Amino acid sequence: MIKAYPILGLLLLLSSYARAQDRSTQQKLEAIVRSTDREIELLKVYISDIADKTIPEPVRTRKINRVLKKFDPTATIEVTSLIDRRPRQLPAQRYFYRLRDNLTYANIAIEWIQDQPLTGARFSDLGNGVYELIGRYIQVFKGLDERGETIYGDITIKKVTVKVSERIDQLTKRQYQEIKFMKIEAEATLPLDQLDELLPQSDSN
Amino acid sequence: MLLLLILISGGYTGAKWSGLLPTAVAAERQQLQAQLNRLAQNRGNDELLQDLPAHYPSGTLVWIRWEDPQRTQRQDWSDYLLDLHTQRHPERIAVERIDRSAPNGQLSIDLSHYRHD
Repeated sequence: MIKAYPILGLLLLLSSYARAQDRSTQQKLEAIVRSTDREIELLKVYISDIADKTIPEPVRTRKINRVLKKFDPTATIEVTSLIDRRPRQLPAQRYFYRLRDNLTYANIAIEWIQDQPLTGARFSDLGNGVYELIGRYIQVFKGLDERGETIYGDITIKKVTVKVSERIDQLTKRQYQEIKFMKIEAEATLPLDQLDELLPQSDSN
Repeated sequence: MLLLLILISGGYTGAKWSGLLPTAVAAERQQLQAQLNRLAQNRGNDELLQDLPAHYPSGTLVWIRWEDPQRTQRQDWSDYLLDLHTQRHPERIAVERIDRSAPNGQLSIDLSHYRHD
């Protein structure tokens, strides 16, 4: 019995080490999710600002150049409409220039309305300090006429894939996180009047 | 007396390290902190956005720590400013360090971001 104690002690030690490792992984995951949520928040605003024709064009162009740095060079974004619901895949750069220039409305209002964090999204550890997160968001698109009236509108469920890499700056040897959007897919396109059905019901009513 | 000596010696080491006198470093840090917070709280203010980039050369790096040490991001100075100009949820910013000691002359700015209460 006495001889068994060291083994028990070792097992306890190993088990608490494993628990500590789990906690550390969990904390790391939470930190990555929080960083990514902030980038998604920024992406939402960049998309709506780039589409907003009331913002001066040079500012919108600067925002395109900035937001593209948040995307992997191979990143793609899918577009759909109610007329043609089959997703068309565009390189991220083309998508943003199209958003600024080629849509034939007096103005465009785009909003990613769901403030739901990525928590609970699919998370994969790809090894070597690289993680992949996939989350879903609802985008509301409105094409407006000169009076600000909606002449076209749709809702798209967007599936966003993000790659988070732990990197080391070669000069300073400092560690940092690099977050890159890999792809934005369109999972479904629906008419505007179905928005209420998609949103979670509020408890206050 | 000893404390005074330590403070003076520390100040001059810092001055040597940063290439500026300590009071100038502190004043620069405070001024930058005030400007960044103003930009963060005035979303879309183009005047503030146009003012700031010229303060530091292109190639300046910004190291941002988000409330915990596991969330450090590295950004170019002008990219960082545009993110601040764009974001909807303002954060409180503290300028921790302006570092001119890199051998290649690259300037680094260390910032901490905190959620607004």
